Amino acid sequence: MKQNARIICDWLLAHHEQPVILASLSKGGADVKMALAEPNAAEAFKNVAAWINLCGILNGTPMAEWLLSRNPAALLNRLYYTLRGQGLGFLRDLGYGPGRPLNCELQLPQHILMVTIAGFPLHEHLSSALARRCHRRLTHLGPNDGSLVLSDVCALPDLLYPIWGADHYLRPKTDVNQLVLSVLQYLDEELQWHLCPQP
Amino acid sequence: MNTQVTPALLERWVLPTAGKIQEIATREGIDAATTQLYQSVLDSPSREGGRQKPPSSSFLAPSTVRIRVPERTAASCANKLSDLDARRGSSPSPAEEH
Repeated sequence: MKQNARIICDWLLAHHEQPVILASLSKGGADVKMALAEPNAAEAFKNVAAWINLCGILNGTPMAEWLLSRNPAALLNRLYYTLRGQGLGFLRDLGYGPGRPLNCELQLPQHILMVTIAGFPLHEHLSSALARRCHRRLTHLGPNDGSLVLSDVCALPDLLYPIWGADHYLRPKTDVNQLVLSVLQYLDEELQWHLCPQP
Repeated sequence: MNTQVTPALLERWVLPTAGKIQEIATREGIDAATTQLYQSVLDSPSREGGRQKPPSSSFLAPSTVRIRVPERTAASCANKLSDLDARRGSSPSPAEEH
């Protein structure tokens, strides 16, 4: 995650000629959050006008805590990740709660407009057994999308676009392409409206 | 052009706290809590409510979704808009440059 944060900052520093709209998906949101905490973030994010945060895991996810637990099913999941050659470091990065890397304040500069998109599913909306299991495991924390605690999402700054019936992966029926296009069009109009004089 | 988010309206608005939502989840079930939180987001004041929005914005899709500004960050949002306006005022427009 730290390395990804550096890559984001380096890329932004190398592309500072034009305004930038950042878009991140799920764990990518954590990478952007960490990039905003880098020492040269102020310079790197100078030309970022907006950030579209699609289901971003900005505070970590309790599912990472569960996957690191001693629960036999979690153990099997870890074995699966290991056999696939995936390290478990990403789970520690995405831990939820005190002492975890993402348990820090989001340092969003004043000039960046943040648009968060998140699913608000009922149990009956969840289309797969895995989604239902994840949702159930987080029930003790309140409304969730199977990965994010929705009260955390509601505390994020600026704008929130809630999608009724969608899970963390925006299933079962969200047209993500159309959604992102709509958000980009909105941002285009919104930012031009403020940066360019209107007749 | 009115770029002010209506502060009085936003100050009155409070989304249910995490504790309150968890309490509802315990009492009435997770789906009831999710429904209530979602409804609270929909009912919260949108930025369009406080000022003129771009004329052809399609962001408000025909589904049951809407933009909202959380009460606690309304000031931050207003500051951003002021910042953008200040930039517009201080830097020449492309037409002025040519």
